[in-house]
Amino acid sequence: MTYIAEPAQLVLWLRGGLQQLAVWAGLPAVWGDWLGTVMEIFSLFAFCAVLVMVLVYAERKIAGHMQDRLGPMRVGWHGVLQVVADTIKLIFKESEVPAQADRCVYRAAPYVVFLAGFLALLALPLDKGVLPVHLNVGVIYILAAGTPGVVGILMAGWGSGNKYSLLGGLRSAAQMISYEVPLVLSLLGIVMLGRSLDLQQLVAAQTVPFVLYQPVAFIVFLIAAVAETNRNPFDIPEAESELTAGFHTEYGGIRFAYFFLAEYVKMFVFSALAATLFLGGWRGPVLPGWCWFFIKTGGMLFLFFWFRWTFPRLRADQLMNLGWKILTPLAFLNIIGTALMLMWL
Amino acid sequence: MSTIIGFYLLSALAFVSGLVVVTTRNLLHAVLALAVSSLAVAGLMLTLAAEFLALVLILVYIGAVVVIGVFAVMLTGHFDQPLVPASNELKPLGAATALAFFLLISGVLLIQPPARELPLFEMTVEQIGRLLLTEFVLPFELVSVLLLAAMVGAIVVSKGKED
Amino acid sequence: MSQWMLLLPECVLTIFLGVALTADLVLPALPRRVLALLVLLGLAVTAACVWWTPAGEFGGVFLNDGFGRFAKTIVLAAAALVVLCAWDFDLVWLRPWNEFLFLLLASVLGMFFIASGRELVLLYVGLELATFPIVLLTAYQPADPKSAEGGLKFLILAALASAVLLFGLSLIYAATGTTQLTVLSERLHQGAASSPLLLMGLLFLLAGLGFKIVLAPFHTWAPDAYEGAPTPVTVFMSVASKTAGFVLAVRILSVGLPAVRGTWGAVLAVLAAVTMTLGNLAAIPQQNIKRLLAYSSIAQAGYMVMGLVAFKPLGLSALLYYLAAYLFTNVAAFAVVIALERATGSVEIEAYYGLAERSPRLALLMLLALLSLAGIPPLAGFTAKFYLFAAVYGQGYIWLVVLAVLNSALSLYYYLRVIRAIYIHQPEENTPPLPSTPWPLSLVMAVTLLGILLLGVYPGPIVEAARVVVGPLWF
Repeated sequence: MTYIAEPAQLVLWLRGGLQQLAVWAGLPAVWGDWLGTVMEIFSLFAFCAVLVMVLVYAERKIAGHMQDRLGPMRVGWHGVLQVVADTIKLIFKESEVPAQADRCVYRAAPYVVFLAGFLALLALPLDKGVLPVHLNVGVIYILAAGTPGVVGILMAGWGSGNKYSLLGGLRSAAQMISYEVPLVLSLLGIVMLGRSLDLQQLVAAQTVPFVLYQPVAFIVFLIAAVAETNRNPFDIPEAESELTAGFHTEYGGIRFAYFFLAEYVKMFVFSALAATLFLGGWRGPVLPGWCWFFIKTGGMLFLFFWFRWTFPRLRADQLMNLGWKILTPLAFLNIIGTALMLMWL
Repeated sequence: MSTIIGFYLLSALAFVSGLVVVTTRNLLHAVLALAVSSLAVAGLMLTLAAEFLALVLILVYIGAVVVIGVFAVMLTGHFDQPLVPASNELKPLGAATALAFFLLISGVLLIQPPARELPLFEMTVEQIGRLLLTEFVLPFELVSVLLLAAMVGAIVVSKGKED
Repeated sequence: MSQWMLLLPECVLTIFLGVALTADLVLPALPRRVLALLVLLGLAVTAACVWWTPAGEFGGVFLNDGFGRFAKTIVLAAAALVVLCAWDFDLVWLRPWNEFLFLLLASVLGMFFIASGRELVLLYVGLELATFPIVLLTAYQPADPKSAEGGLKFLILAALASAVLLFGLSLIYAATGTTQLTVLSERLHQGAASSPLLLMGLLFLLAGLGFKIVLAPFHTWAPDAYEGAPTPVTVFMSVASKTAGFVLAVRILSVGLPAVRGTWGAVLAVLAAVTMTLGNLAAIPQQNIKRLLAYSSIAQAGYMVMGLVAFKPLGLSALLYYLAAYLFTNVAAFAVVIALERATGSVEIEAYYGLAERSPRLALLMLLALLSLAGIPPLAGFTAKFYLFAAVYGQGYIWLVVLAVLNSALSLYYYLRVIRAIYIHQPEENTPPLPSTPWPLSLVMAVTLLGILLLGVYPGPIVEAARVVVGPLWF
């Protein structure tokens, strides 16, 4: 048994070490715990940053090959350092505040959006017994943690003091709250099957991946998740021909980087959620749990990229129709069907 | 220890942001401060081990109430002039009422601290669900009619004359 | 399973509520009259179910008893009369009709749960369901600034009142640890009655109830809401809402909190005195008949609270009788208001000048309704006041009775002002003759006229019924 295969042991070992360190330094042991928490948060943040870099590189490469291009090739071997270069550029670029902006709101917005995605990340079960924050209502937690993101986007749209930003923000927010309904409803079937809101227990309950019992819910979830992340074919909020760059038109430099980070983190969260709830999460043969988790999440992410480079963008009214008149009733039917199934089977 | 620190920090945050809600002249800032206040209250609930309630509070208050509030501010013509008077001539009276209320409730709580012998519920989602479908099944079902009526009525009223 | 049978009237009502909402989705060409008839049928079937469903208790939270049936019948009658009143009225405003009926029925459903609720959460949700459709109906003509204003004021104050009420209920829960009224009552007798937490909860509860039944310091929303709402909605508000509010007060105060009766009885006695005096004084200068009737109904609420003060069983049965009499009397007055509003588009008292010449029948009905409101024998209002005042007198609140009698005399002043406009003033030159009243409205007038006269001269059966249903309220 190695520590790599059992990250839970690693975390416990680290925590224990920190407590001993605190005692050795003549401080209460609980300080060690706090230090551990702070370190965990920082390492998760670093994880986010690295993850997003990997995702951006992957997306550009995949997009390139789908379009019969090579994608980034110049910086580093097959362009692997391209994202690093981009990141450095973004960090050092000047980040201006427009004169007509609502300064306070404008500045806070990117962090609110990012934090929403980041907080949702905390409850994802990477492996059996491994998740930064263990809650018995994990499903609701992930959904709830994401909600301030809508407010953040509205803040960005308003704070920029620019009509394109405002319209983009309003559209994004309207889209996100519309698609949140089918998204949440599609997860209810899973919760009913697994009889829990605890992500760990839901994974443990999947002797057979739930996607086989809940194909409708899976499709609804997938579509709604793409819409929630404002990605193609639902990236109307950012439709460049209509709204330039939507709510983040006025943003540049590090603040823009946070929006960018948030989008990819959110995509990761939804992919991971789909992998956890529908595909069996860390369950799988031979390989350790976290491997399976990342393989399944990676597959979902690939699906996201694939969508983006395959489908044309929907029109705003088509989007609302799809959400309210097709996905929401479908999700309701799925709940009813699941309930009947549970009653009679 | 950390719970107590968290309690005071969150209470202070809720109080200050609540104060901003009622004193700021910028409607949008007021709504955003309301969001912060709700977050702080949700945090308080977390410290009381009521995770489910805390999350529902965030979902409902930030996901719905605040977002609708922001939409209302943005769509009702305050875009150019978001500044509104934050008080009127009743301000002293309002402050006096708030103070009287505070004194009254704290007085009552000092005379009679909340009963400790009340059963401290370990309120899990499961228990809440059970209660909703047994003891509170009637209000639970009735709320659905209430929400439907509110929705229908809101649409009818806001749709205006052309129908 | 048999327990669920107790909910039969509520289920029937819910079905018809769904029918009202979806009818024009399924049958877009459905004439409005058919829908109205359908809803009336629904109300009739519900009424039949109310009396057919056996008495019994649903898990300690819902009680099908005589008191509830009595209240439900009043509410159903009010709703049916309102549908008839609105039948043609609605054409004037061109507002969606089936949503109007849907909201009306939703409110009735809420009142049903108030009438039968025995548990604070259920009562609260019922109250919300009873109130919010009426708020929406008040703002049903957003193009009319008065309607929008009335609706907005009503909405904000109703929300505030709900918050206050809920805070009070939560304190009561904190003090006793239960939301079931019967358990609550037991715990109070075991000694929780003197806790300051409970008294504080009671204070907030009374304030919240005061909003709902329009008692004096909390009445400010009522005149604007009454004036702004479409008149049929005003009728519903003044009759059904008030009934529901009093039923709620009876359930919570008399069943749940009799142990602290001394406290709330004293508070309510003072509120009653203030309310009736203030309502009557404020009604005097009114030029708008809807506002006048609004203040008059505030004053009437003041009288009715005396029934709560006088407590069991005489006071409460007198209160029930008063509610029944008030139903017919107030609807009659408003039916005339609606008839004139249809004809002239005005709700000012000037529109009533010389009504006796233009339409003797409307004038007579208005005369009887107003005299009944003032409490002149042999009309329903007199009998109701007689029983009520007797009950209060019997409990020793002599000062309150004296004040109420003085107030009745005072109220006669402004009722007579309207009567003077109708019978003494000459109509203005070139006033066009009134068009004939449509039959649904005529039906309302006939029924209410009958009610006013019958309850006035032959009160026996209703008094007996009210006495019988109030008896077992405490068991």
